[in-house]
Amino acid sequence: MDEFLEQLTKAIPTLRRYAFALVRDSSLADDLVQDCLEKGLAHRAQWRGEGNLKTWLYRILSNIHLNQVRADKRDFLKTSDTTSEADITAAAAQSPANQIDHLYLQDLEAAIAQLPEEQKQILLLVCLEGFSYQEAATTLELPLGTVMSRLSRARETLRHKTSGTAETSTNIRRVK
Amino acid sequence: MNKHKFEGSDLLHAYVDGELTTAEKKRVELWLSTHPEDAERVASWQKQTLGLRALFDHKTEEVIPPQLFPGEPLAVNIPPPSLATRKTSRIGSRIAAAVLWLAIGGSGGWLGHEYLSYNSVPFLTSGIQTTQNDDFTQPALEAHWVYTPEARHPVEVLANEESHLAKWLSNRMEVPLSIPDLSTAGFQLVGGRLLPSSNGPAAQFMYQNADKNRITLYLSRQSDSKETAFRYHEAGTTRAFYWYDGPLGYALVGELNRQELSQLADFVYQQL
Repeated sequence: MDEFLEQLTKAIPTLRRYAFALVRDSSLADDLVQDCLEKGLAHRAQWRGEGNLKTWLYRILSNIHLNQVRADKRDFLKTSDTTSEADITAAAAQSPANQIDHLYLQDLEAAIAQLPEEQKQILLLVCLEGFSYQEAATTLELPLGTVMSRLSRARETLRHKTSGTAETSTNIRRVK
Repeated sequence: MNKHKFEGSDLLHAYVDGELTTAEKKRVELWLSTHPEDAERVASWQKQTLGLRALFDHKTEEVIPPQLFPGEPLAVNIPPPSLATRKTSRIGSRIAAAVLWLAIGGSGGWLGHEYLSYNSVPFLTSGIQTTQNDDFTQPALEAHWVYTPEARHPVEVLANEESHLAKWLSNRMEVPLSIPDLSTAGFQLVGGRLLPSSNGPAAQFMYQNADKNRITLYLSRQSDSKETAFRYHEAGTTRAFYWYDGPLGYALVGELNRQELSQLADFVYQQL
């Protein structure tokens, strides 16, 4: 069995997780993975066995994702705003305060959806996919310092958006 | 190995992500023990990591859609390790279906399907399918948690294509399905989607009332045909009634109180 195809296939489950976390829609995510794998296969000559195939595949997927987001940015920004508001309102309506974990996850998910894509990619590579800082920097072809600052901003944004779960809910209720 | 020197809050991030040497780690821990604000930040970042896993890890457990295998021969040859058992059981059930198909000969399309679904699966599963899992409340709850907060893509097929939705999911699940109407109870159909499960395709229908409360009905194939009464399950504020009826397991899931949900489950049951 072809070493390249074998490694490629092994990467599929985690690529699907990464893609799903980026777009939070199963079929969009699988489209993204499919594009990535096809591109990977088409350009397999570029890989030449140097470095980690996994890193290379994540780079392809990340780039496709960024290009797609930039392509329909206006549309995307509009909808992503309404999304998270609706999410939080729904969560507030359905979950009393004792349901901290479920509510936290909903807030976290909504907050991730609102992150700038560049920050989101770094956050997911490091925290979800378990990449080292160096691997994340290689994958996204960024200096280590940029990786650190984006990670830091993403984490602080999420912290602020999830810390006041109770207050957030009441604020929105009042506005409503 | 660790050429990079982390400073300031980078040091705290590097601590959370396991990027520090033992000596550096010790120093950070000492710092945290006397700086509660930083300790709180670190704890909150660690919680984020756990939260991300809780939200998204399930994707690695799913059966991979066949169209994702780029080189055709791959699909059967190398299932990723974590999926080995499920894959086997699905392939096993396909082989079983094919064998049975030959055995019953050309008795016609849908009839054959039904024969397979209602009568033969239990017999076949004992021999070939080894990883059947009839506990479908957990996947039903997870699917509920994942999709009900979605504003943009709560479902794959919207309610305006209801008849297409019913036909499509019936085909995929190989059982004729009808979509219960819960509008008398104030819940309108939002739509539905196909889901992977350890028993092959599963389906989820989503409903929403005027207050934007959403409930989901989850259906999955079971290894044997049986009928049971309603059973009740609770996870935090999420409640579920589930039961078996014929080849399917049903779970009605929502953040409603038990009486309301039980009444809705009755409605669903009556319409099946």
